[in-house]
Amino acid sequence: MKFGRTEVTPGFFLTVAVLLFLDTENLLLYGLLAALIHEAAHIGAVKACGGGIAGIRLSAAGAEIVLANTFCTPYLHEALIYMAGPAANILTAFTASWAGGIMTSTELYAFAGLNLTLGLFNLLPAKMLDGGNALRSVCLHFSGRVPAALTVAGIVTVLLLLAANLYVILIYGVNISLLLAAAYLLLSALTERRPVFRGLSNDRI
Amino acid sequence: MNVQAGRRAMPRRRLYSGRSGGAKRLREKSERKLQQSVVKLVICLSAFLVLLALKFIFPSGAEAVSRHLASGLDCKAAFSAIGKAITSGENIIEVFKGISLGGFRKDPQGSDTDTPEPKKAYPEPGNTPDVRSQNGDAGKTSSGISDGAEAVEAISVVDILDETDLPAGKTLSPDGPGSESADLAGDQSDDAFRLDQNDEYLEELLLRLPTSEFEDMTGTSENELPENVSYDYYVIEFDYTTPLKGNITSAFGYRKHPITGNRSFHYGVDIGASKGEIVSAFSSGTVELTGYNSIYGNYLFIRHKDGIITFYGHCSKILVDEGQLVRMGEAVAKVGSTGLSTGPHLHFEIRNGDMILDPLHYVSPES
Repeated sequence: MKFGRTEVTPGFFLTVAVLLFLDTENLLLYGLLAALIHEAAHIGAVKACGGGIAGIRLSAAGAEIVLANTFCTPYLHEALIYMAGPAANILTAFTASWAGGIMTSTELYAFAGLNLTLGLFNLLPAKMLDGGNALRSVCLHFSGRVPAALTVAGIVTVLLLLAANLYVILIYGVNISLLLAAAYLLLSALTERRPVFRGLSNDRI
Repeated sequence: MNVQAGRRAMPRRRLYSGRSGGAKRLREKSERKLQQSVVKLVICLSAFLVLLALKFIFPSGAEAVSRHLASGLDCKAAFSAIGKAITSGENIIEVFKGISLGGFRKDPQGSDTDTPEPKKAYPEPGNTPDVRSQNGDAGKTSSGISDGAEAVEAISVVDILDETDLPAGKTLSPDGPGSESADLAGDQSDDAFRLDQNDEYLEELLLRLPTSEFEDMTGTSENELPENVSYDYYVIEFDYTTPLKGNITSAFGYRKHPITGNRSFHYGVDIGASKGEIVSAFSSGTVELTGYNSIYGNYLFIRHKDGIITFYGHCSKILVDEGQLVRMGEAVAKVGSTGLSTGPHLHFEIRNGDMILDPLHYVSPES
């Protein structure tokens, strides 16, 4: 389903429906807002580096920005583009926490906490997360190749998420949030078809 | 030029090259793909509408499913604690530690089950139990007990707040003799901490207390009190004082929780004051425990005579050390807003053994 340059996949509707159904604390709205800030920062960074956006694809796995295939940028700029999303979330977290302190609003605190969590999660060194992609770009800049350690770091991240989920289950009972996150990272890594080339063309951020 | 325009160029070249069969196959493939997409879209949109309808038509059912699938982790409280720690100067690592140790349990007793939480009936007028005799044992046991289930009671609510509250190296594991829990007990024997000698009640209490204030008690009658809570006046036979002067922002009893919005029981009295104001000891005694909890922030317990224990929460700074003897009125902490709190205040509780009492029987913050 297309709305201008925005493509919405059926899986997106399903994911939103499930999250809406499970959300009893009105956190979905905050989550969507935090995701919007994250993606807007990526788009802003792409534009600042002279790139163009071909479209946005909303799928079950989240938002995917399709860049104009003419866009080619140095690896360090590429790393900055990847880091813009988590940085925006962390900045928002500080702002919301500060505002929460002034207005004594737990809602703002919750929004701040969610932004911080989202920002930190995206900094994990897994292939399909901003942290992993930024590391890849930095490695390419300095050595011209992607070290195997990066793949290992991604696998370790997935394993740690699985272990953390197991721990959360032991402490709090059934909870599949981290399991879903780990599954997402694993599937994304397995189905990744991106060739390693200079530039961000058709990349996901 | 966008990505899609570039991709369309390929089949067009093939058409001109005269491969009409290939073009037909491509068209069929494209139509099949379109049909599949439409089917997927219809299924997902239907699921979306069904789930949405279920959510709004049967909100309680949706909540029950959500609670079952999303565990007892109170995500909003956890995110709020993280968000607050960012700028309040609290140690964010401690907050994450609190989360990892189960400090943000939404409903540890699993109230989604059919069995309602046991409640203690509020005594009818004229049928008030003899508080002195009822609580006298608790007071006696807390001062030094060495064996059996009775000894476990001596640990009291205050001692077993939660493992998250315990200082490093002090645990209340049911390991029995030889466990480090004896550190906390002082002269009490290890046997006193054997939870296996106890009924489920204490074990439940061990899990329930840290988030007890968040427990949704909607629909609970005013005449029904949570366990271990008493409005009765217990005569304290030693001198005591009000630890902090200020406005009572939340009294002991049922209230709408300022964070969750649910009707829940408030186990102490909240006294509003400026950050940094001195909190003094309710009476002479020994500082039993100090620490940080993601709910109560910096806190301390003081054990007084006759099994009376006082609790001071959300402090900005603790001025005393564990084991230190303090006198009545001595500065023990500073007012703060650490933990889950909406502003600087002192959360003050008085406990008699395992019974939580109404502090306003004993202190007058506003006078």
